[in-house]
Amino acid sequence: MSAPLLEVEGLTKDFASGGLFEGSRRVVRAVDDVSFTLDERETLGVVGESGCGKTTLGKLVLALVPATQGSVRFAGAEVLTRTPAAMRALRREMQVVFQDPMSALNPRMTVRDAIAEPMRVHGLVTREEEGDAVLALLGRVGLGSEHMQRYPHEISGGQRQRVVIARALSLKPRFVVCDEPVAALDVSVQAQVINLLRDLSDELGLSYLFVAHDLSVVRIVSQRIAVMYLGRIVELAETEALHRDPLHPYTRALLSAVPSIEPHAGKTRLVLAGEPPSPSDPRHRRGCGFAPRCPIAERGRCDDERPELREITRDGVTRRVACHLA
Amino acid sequence: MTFALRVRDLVTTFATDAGDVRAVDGVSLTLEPGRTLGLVGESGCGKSVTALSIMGLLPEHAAFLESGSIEVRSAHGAHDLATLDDAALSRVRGRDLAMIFQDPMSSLNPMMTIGDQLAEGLLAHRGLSREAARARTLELLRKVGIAAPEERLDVYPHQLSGGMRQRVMIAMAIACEPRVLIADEPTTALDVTIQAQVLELLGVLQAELGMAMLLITHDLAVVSETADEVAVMYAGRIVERGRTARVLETPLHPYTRGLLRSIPSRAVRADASSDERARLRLPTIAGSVPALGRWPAGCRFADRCEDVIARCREQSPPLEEHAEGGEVACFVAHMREERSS
Repeated sequence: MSAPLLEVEGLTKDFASGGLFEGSRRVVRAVDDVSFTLDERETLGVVGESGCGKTTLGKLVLALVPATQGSVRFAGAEVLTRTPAAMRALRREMQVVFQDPMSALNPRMTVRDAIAEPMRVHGLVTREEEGDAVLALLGRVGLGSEHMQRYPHEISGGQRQRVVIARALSLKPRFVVCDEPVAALDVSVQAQVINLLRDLSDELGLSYLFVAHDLSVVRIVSQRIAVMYLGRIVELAETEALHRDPLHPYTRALLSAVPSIEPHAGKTRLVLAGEPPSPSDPRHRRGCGFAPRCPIAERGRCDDERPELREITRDGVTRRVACHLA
Repeated sequence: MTFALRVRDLVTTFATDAGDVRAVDGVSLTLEPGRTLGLVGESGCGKSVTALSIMGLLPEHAAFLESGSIEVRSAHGAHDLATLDDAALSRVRGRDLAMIFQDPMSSLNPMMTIGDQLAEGLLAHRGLSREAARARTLELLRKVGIAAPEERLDVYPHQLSGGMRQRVMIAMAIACEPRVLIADEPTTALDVTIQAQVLELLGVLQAELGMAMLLITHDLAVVSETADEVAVMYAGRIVERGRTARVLETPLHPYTRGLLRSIPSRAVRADASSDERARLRLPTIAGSVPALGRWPAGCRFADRCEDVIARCREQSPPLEEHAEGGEVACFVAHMREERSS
């Protein structure tokens, strides 16, 4: 087997939060010792609730925010210690699609310019080639020449997200971080964009880190899924195994909380008490971060001893779970 | 039939640069005590404007109620809200009719403590003394599942989490035990585990108080789990209505069908293998939702419809009863009904 495209190890991010004055400042650990790999042509879904660190994780991997600790290797080379010049070359291979296309696009730039800009910056096309290159990218994402001279406010939300995707593709990346790429879209348009992202992955051999809160969306696009809670991965497994047999109590609660479209689905809902904790709350420093809400937590162990993300093999499937009791 | 709220032929018009545009165009719906009607549709379909029209909360100068009636029946008598002046409307609102919104942060007053905001409605509508209002406030906070309510009374909204704020807003809404609760995307801004808590809470409160609920949402799964009946809106009109199970299992309108098919959890079977999943493409609806007022003549869904016939582009299909149960506004659905009968 070939080496993974992306290798993330011990990635950690601390933010300083709080007051203007020294004494009132606190350190918030948004991402806490996260490790995973991503293969060529693979999509890894990252799910979790607000504040779990999934968005920060995506930014760290792209070196859009500096990491506190850890390493990110892309195609075998370290990303986090690159010089700005070396980083610029790497940017071509690693792209990002955010949730809100309206704020990702310059409102005063036409669709043509928005898509052409990265290619100009990287000197990939001449003026003469540019029009054809933009048109080809528009075709790729299901738009056409009629959209070239439009401004972002003149096209629909779904079309805007297609433009953002076309722009991300313009540099022929191998890896794209998709952060809630369909969360702002209506259901009927969401399906179009999901199909597009999957087709692009098949046709161009792209790998995605697909960050989203919607488990049903993540399930469709991902080969494997990482579940995050309080900055840590608590379970990482193949999509089928995770859905069929979630091992971490938080994964179970999360899957159970998703409302079902099927009437009388007949499942008993596991309504979790309490709320997702804030990473700034110092109470979660010790033990398992999920212990205060966990229905099966053992006193004296789960609230005291931090569970490592360890490998568990069940029914011939290996996955990683951070739970003493799994 | 007894109803708590009956809306008939509601037309709400927005004044825009391009002239008047009907954002809601002839909507009728009935809410029965203790039951929930889910109003679903995509952005811009007019579902929120319908709610604001019922509540008399349309933005002044920008929008107005062009025609229609909004009848509320409660222990305080029956009123047509469309004919009431502002003062009379204020009395009904909060007492018989209450609303919760998607974003509790922008609906709560950031400068007022939770206790004062909750007491405000009680003082206005119930004429309670300060003392009694405080006792009732604590009772309400307890009822919506807020632990240690005494400690929350003097807290400001920003000091609470999103889920807590939504609970406070629900407490305000039920303070006067309204007959009708309108919930506009009440859980959209919440995490899924909190959404489950809030939906459960709404169900418990509804059963206890016998409220009729209008649940406005884009999420058909939320509707599936909470609503007795569903009305589907598209481009300012209701295109289909019926019992929830019927609409979700046997959708009649091509738009409802398309909407349901495009939901990821429905498109992939629960036990699908990784190969099946990899090959799968989500069914989609062609095109996108037309912008407000840029609606085609005839059936407004015609341009995106897989069943479209010539007649659809000329005439607007009325919402009519269908043999499967409920009503649908589609010529083709009714033709199929005739053929099969």
